Amino acid sequence: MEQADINQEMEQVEIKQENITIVETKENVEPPNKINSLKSLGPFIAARDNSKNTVYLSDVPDVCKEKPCMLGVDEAGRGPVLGPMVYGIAYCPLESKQVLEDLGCADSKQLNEEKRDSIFDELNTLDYATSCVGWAVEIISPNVISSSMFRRTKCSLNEVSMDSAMGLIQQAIDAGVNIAEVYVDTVGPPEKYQEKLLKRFPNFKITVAKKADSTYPIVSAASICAKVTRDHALKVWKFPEGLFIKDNAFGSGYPGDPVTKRFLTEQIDAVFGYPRLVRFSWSTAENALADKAYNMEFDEPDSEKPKYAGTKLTKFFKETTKTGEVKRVECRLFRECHLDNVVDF
Amino acid sequence: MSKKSTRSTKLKSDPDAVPKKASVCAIKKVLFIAHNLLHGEQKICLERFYHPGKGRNALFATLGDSVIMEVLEYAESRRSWLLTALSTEVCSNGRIYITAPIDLNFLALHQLRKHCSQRAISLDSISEDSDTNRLLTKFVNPETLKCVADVKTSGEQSFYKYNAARTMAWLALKTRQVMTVLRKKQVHCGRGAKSQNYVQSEKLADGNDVNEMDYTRMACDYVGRYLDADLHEELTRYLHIPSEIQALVEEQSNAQKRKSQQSESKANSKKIKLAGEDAASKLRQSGLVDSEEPVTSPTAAAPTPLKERSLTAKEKALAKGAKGSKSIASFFKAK
Amino acid sequence: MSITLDFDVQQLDNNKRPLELHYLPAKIDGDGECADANKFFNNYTQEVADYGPGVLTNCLRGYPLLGKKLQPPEGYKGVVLQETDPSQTNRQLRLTGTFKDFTYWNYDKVPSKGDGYQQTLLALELAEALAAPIDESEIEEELKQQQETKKENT
Repeated sequence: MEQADINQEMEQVEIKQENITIVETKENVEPPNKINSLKSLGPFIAARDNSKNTVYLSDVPDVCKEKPCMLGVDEAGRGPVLGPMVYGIAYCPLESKQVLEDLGCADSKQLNEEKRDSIFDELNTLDYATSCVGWAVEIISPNVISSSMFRRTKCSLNEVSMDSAMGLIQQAIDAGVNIAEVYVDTVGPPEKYQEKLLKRFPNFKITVAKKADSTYPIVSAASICAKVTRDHALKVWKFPEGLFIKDNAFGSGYPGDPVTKRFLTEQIDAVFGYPRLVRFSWSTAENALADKAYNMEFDEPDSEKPKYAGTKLTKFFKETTKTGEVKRVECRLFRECHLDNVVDF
Repeated sequence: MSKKSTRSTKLKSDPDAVPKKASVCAIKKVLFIAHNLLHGEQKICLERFYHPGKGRNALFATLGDSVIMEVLEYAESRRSWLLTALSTEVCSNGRIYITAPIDLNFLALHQLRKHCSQRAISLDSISEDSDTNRLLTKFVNPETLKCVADVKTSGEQSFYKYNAARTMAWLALKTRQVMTVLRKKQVHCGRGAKSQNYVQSEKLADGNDVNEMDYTRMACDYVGRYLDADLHEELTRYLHIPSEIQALVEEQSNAQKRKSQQSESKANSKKIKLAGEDAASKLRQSGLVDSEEPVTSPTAAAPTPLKERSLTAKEKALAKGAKGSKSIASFFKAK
Repeated sequence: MSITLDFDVQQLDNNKRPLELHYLPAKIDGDGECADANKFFNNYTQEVADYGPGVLTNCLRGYPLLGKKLQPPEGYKGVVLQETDPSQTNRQLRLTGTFKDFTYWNYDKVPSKGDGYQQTLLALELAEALAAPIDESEIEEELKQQQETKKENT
């Protein structure tokens, strides 16, 4: 992008506070329960609680229940500090591979947004696609990402990811998809991931590979579903915090993006930090808050608690002051419930 | 707890950082005030009086000259308040100040022992300190002082002399009142961590002696926080509470007796065996672990404390060495 | 030096709307106004049945919280006071407001009887028991028993 473009884009970021008196305008049209075109994707997402995860499964084409299928898994939005991470799966009979190629499901990284949108639309509208290709996505809320990673027993992003992927595969199984082969894209080392998947789904032929989306069209289809969903989730993001940002232009969410940078600088509250669009567990967010928000300290995570040591001899000694006076220890009950007299007030 | 090991959102400090949101805020405090302070025309005052357990002045809430309560603070290390009236604000002082009932005899006792051990003195001439004077003449109930002092009257005047025997009796009765609540609430008073696994076999295996002593120790420990240190020790002796280390040794030998009995009868209790294999859990149950956040907690509805504790070699040695001896601490005290 | 709680004890509830309080499980190095809790926090509070009845969930700066609505202990009134100048000789704390309940939050731990706060309530019951007066006749009885035990031992 040219420097001029960036500047222009930055100009467009207008951040306003909504009036307190705004009343939710109830739309007369029921929010869609089905995503059957690109157009229905945004409204579907917008109607969901964006502080929680949302799972959507397309109808399972009949042929996918009968014939052995391949299933691809890919994700979108793993790196950014903003917005949800989306896991996607797509599946079709092994014999229908040609349909994927006809749809244009090639290396999804090579496709621009427009192209991805149109493939997604065709995947959901054209008979030759809907009759044999099914898909599903899980939108993992940034609120859930942060709170999982900040649990007392930490849950890494990899665990969140794998749980989501396996959950989607399970849902496909439960919906009747006759899965034979599974292809998974991964950024990390494939071996461990493959092992874990095999353990859970021992009957499938499972392939975990880096850049699987460029190698396997079914992964590419999954990738398109995930990416299009993530893009739309950001576009229709409504801030429960009452922020309004024109065109939801908060940038790509990558720390290097000046628009994202500016968003992270300007939208800080001393106590709450950011609106929950932001993944608090990202160091980018933590660093920005360290400068401008109140320092906040929770209990240390379980893993960092001191290990049990042997008996401390000091337990049997009473503490003495320098003058040799015995320091009195507060009674056990008060100690344990953090009670004491007030000396300074 | 080292700062390093805590989860903090603060990663670095930037000297050029934009100053934090300016706060024109009054310092706020959250209180639980007992209803008996909330009546009448007068305003509540906070005053300082000498607290024998603390060895210094502490805060008390008073209503005129009629009501007095001890002010306690609940002060967990990582707590703050978020409060919303018309707008929201944060309050870094995460304490809760609580007014608690107190028998003023405890505060008076310190003065009586200090000034009235040898001769009987009237309350208004015990101390020249105005706060103490106010405490003794306005709040202390002369009637209840009879529990800890001999009273001589001459005309309108009453004179008080500290009575050690009555005081001990009074304190013992106080301790029993506390024990009643501990027992009623099934507060876990043993040193060991609570373990659901042990409860059943324990109950069958043993009487209630140790258990009873745990309650006594806990109650005496609590009563002691209102006494001068030497008086607390006197009470501990009066109630025949063995030092903790002594108690440990006794438990240990009892446990071993039981163990051999058990192995003879090849009696079941799989759980004990299982736990016996787990060194870490042993140590935990031994209650010997010192930690900032106690492993044990006197939780309501906790099961009966366990006695089947195994000690590590180190602990055994320590306990053995201490058997029959005085509390180690007693050698370090100022005479 | 004196400290006065400068409010009419009989009219505590008359004037103001109750305050809404959250007891947060974090040390926060700051005081003062912040964004509206109704938009940044309260609207995210949810009751999650998995954790038991009345258990609430929320997050603060991404940290998962589990909470419960609690009331001040029986026999107590929840009060918030403020002081503008603690350096004065005659200190005065004014009433900000009162509260009937507050939300107690733990960091990723279901609020339980094991929490220090809950045990504080127990401590108050002990204080009650310790403060309860003792009848003189009981003392005489105790003294008599003590005498007898001594005799037996000698």
